[in-house]
Amino acid sequence: MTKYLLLSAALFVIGAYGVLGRRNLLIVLMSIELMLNGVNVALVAFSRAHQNLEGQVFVLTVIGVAAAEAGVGLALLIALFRNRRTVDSGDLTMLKG
Amino acid sequence: MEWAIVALYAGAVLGLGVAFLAASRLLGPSRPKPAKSEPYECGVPLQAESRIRMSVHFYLVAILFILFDIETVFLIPWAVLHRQLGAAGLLEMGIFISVVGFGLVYVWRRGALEWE
Amino acid sequence: MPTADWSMIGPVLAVLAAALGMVALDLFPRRPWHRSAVEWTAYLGLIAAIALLHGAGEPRVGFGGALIADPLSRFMSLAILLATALAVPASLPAIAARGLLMAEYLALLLLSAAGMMLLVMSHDLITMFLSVEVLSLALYVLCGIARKDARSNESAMKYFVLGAFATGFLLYGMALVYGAAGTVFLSGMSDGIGGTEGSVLAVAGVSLIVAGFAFKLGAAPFHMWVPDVYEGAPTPVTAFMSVAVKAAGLGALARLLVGGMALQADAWGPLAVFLAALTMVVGNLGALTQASVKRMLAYSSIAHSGYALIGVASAASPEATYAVAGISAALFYAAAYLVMTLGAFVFLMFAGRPGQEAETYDHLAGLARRRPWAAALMTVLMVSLAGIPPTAGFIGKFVLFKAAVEAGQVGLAVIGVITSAVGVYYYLRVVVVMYMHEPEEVPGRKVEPEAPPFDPNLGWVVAIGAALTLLLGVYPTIFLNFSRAAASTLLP
Repeated sequence: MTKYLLLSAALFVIGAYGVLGRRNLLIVLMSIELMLNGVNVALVAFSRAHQNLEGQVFVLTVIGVAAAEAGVGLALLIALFRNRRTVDSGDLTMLKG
Repeated sequence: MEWAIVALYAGAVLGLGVAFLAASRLLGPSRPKPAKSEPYECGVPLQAESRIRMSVHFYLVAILFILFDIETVFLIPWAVLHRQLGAAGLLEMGIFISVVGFGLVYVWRRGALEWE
Repeated sequence: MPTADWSMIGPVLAVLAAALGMVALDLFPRRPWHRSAVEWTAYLGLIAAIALLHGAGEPRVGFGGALIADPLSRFMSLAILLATALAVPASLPAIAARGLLMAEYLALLLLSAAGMMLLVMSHDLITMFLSVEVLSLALYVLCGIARKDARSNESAMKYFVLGAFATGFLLYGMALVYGAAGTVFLSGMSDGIGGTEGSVLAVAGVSLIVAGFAFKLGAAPFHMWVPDVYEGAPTPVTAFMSVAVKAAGLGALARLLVGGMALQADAWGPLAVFLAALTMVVGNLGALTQASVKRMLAYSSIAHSGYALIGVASAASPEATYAVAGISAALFYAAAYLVMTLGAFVFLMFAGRPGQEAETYDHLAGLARRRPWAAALMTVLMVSLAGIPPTAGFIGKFVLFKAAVEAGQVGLAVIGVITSAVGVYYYLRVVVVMYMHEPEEVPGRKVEPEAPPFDPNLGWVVAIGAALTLLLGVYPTIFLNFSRAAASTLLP
């Protein structure tokens, strides 16, 4: 049990580090997916520990949502790229107070 | 109480990692030179970037693939249990599939499936 | 086999059907009546949803415990549908001016509204997560719907990356709470966790969930995205998301914390106090220094999230009556905030010209002479946002501070009063500029003496916002009773 939770936490933290630390938005997108999948590991582990299926249903929902999120993220990225020719988060500086 | 130990452990792991990274950033010398960032001992200078620019069409296809591929996640549990779920299950799955199918018709008519 | 109680989600289905219908209309060859057909499909769906909401009957739980229809969900659904119904006419001029696909835009608006209605009805963590995502994904796309506009792209990308990041934390929190409670259903969750003594898992989970919702509400310290996203998104989208997301998020947060985790109040109570205090200070101080009215309103929306969170913080009180008073005040405040802020954002379009909105204070200079009615309506909205009687903003703040003092959160009430006083300055600055300043020559912008053309629909939306603001301020009793009924069914 503890091992699975540590794996889950590790995946989540690696994903979070990727979101915060990388400037290429494509890698940021992948890191977000990694965060969600890290949570999935924890959900399956809890589902097994509690001997009920609610966690696994949750995982299926998360997988579906993650796919939709990836689709929307990629679409926004393409729109951004077509206008600005960049996928670097450091170049997003048009909106400032 | 065992969770406290887990949390403590996770905190220690994180703290150690951050401490190492911070120490190397703060203490290590940083003198960037162009020669240092070149590939190590590879003879000739670089001819081109190792990353090839992919056509944006591939991304569009990738998006559509992800969206229509993932519906199987919901089909499989239904397929395993379709006997127990009976007519109501079939009806609900029919609604689901027709909404997804509607999406397919929409992207088709909008021309997203054309390569050019 | 869980039974499906379709009548419960009638309003959601009506909105979803309208969204699909609009997109389907787009598949047919264009006819002259195409645009009005799309527009009326949207209105029809919203009217049907309000009608179905009215006939919903007794509070009940359905779909195997996943959804609940009670006064809270009805109050919030009504607020969400109202915001959507006002956002549709407010969007039409922007759609035309920017050359957007009307059916796609309105369908996304309605899909987001459907997600919000599901969110305030959700009675387990899975449904809650799913509906948060439905509403967010539609909003990410709406922010970036002006595909040719680089500012819209940037707004959408920032919102997406930070929103998805926050979703990750929300989800992780939900997973930990599930691990601690052994169930995803809100009924039985509090007992499943059984107090916070020694349960690091539960405390961490609740904290992460609160942080995730704080992001969606734009509460400090998770507010960094708000000004940029609100400024870059098309203004009708900003108007819709600034009010509807907060109403839905607040409803869900109240249901989750007060309804599902009443025994864990010692874990989330201090968090809510901290968020409320910081958000009020950061929002109001940020709004002071803005040159753009749109950004000022964005910071103002942060500040108002802080005021609404006072209610949530007061609800951590173990006394049931104080908890009800706190939530009731927060719900009423969300409704008051909805009408005044929606009106104020739409006013920015109304005060400008097609394709050129009013953005800085200078653009509004001398507006009272050119367009006396528009200036008068905006004055009502600004007075209300500043919290001066006889408006919705005053009553909302009054019940909130009263609930806070009764629940023992005197410190929060004091911070609220002080920051409100700060707010008076920048809200009334708009009024002063409109009435007392002469229109100046702004470089790159011609000031024409005659009244510029504007869409009368926008004027109606602003007028409805201002009228409701006054109505809630002068006759608050009916609405307060409604919000109190909504809050009191929350407690187990």
